[in-house]
Amino acid sequence: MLIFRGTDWYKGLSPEEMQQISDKWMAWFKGLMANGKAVAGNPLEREGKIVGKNRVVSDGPFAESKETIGGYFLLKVDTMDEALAIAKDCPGLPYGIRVEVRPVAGECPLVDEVREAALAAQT
Amino acid sequence: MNAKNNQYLLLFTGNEWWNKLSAEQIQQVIDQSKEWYGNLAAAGKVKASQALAREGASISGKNARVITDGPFAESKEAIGGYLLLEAASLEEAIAIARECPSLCHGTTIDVRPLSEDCPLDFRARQLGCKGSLAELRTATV
Repeated sequence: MLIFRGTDWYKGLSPEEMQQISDKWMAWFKGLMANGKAVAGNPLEREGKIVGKNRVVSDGPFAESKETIGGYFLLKVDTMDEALAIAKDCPGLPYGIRVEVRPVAGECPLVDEVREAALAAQT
Repeated sequence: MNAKNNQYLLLFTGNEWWNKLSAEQIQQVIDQSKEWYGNLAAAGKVKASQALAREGASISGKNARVITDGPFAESKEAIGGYLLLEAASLEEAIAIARECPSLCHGTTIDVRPLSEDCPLDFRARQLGCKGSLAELRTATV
């Protein structure tokens, strides 16, 4: 999964630059969909809600920060290196966007933990 | 706020919270989570759901610098997994998120509506360009 972080990077760009990045990004994504490397991708609304401790609901994430997630791609590739190579093509990189590349886990880490704990208990 | 196709992305953050729990407590959270998830899936609310591996890479800058030992496992901000939810409204999505069993152990859930267009596109249209990213709508699930 490619997670695009940063929602403040396009400030200060001219309409022409924005258009150029927008076109590049579209071509990038379409290409990945066409050759089956991307199986999903979505931008997120800039506003949402956060559910935290004691199930309290608060506003957020706050728009326009370096860490805020703006969207994601779900890739289907053979290796981490291939995912990295694709991420390096992200047209937003020169403007300050950060791409997090995270393998999808075979199983929830929590389940792993239980298995390890069970194994440890046996020995 | 209307989410694209009534879809909301729940992002689970706060990794490694289970290290504080006993084996019994962990088993309990797993059982509760299975029930929570099972009910949502049975009701047709789950579009996709996956856990993310604790390792990964972060890429940034003009030269596409790669940092491979990202602070994923330790960071409170690290995303541990996601659930793509179909819900009638943001309120329903929040209500579902609030039932998540791991909340009482320190998980935080971001509830984010999928967007009709990306922030860049929105800004592009503000500035008067056509903004081609809106085409993503037809290309994505």
